[in-house]
Amino acid sequence: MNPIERLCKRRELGKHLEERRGRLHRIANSWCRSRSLADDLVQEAFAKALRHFGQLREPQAFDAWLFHILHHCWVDHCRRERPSEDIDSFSNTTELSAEQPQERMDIVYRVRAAIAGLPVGQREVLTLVDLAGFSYAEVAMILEIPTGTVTSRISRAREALRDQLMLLTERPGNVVPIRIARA
Amino acid sequence: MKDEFQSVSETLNAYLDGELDTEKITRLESHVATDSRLQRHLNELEQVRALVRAAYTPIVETASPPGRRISYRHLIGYGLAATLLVGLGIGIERWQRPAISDYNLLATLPSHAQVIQPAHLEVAAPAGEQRAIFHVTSADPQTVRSTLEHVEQLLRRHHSTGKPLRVEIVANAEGLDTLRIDTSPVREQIARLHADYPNIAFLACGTTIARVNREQGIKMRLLPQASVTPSALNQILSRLRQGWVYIRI
Repeated sequence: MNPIERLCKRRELGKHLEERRGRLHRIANSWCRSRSLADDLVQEAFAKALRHFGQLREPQAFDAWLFHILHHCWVDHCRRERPSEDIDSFSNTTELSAEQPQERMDIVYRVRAAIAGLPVGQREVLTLVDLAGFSYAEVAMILEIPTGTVTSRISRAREALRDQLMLLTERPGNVVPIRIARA
Repeated sequence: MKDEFQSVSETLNAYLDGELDTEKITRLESHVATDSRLQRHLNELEQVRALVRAAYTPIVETASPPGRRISYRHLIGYGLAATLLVGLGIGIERWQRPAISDYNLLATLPSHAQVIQPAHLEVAAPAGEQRAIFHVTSADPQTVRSTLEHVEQLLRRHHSTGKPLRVEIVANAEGLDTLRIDTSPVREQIARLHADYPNIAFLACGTTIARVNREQGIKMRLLPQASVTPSALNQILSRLRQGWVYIRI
């Protein structure tokens, strides 16, 4: 590739990356639950994508490739933070659920807290399928795990959330009356 | 070894995510049709999926008219929105009934009205604009009339003071009767409000419509003023996240 072609391709790549920034950020944020860390992860993923764009063999797999890079950045971050733990098994929920009194939690917060309570491996699969809209095969590629593992993780993740979120609507004891306006 | 529950769950989830082949889809659908527990399980997983999506859906405030279909497709079940909202402990801020002189949209509500004001606003309302989503879940003509009377009073007040206001009336479950040509007890009022005020929208729940059509083998006819939103619950959730006030009378 001559330098001009390379430059054009780079500019085009930059455009593609910008178009996907929001989506990447949403996923990164759902993994690490920190906007600023998500910014960093996306930025790092962009830098890596620009550096390694020559390695992308199939242009139609661009999205999966990009999320694959993002996932690497996230895994690297986790290793730096918690070198001894297995990323698939740890979940880090406490700071989300303990502090806020129940009545201050809104629905979005509750759902996000429930997602945050999932083991990281399940959370990654769930968010890639539900938020980024990838197929099981694409998720398997992004996370470098067998498709069967994607199938079982998504099911375990949704069952765990179902236990936490759906049961609340069925047990009368858990139902808090909506504040009623009184004269 | 994989237990039976896990294997059923994997099949249901793969079905929801469009990961099954045609043969498996046919087989599963025939099971689901005859097994109410399976049906319920599938329905709950759909709701979970919709909640996950809703919890991370970015909010885009647009100038589009209210009542337009929201762009993302949701598959949330048809349980009463309020029940779910309450069950999930949606943030309900304490509020004091404002003094009448400080007129706002809560001031004249009847004492039994249920109100949710989102505790965590992600988007601030445009300067001074008041926004309310009224939820109609009952077919009781008196309740429906009382809701519309309040809405009309609100619209009239805001119109005369020039204060900006946006109102949506969303109907689901039995409340959908309100927006049906053959059952609405308030056809004239709806036509009048719609003609007089550009800032009101009437929304019918697409999920309820689909269910009623399926169960009764009919094609439901709605009032010409009504638009369809894919799911009343999601409409409410998304409005709450945008800082609208939820009111059910």
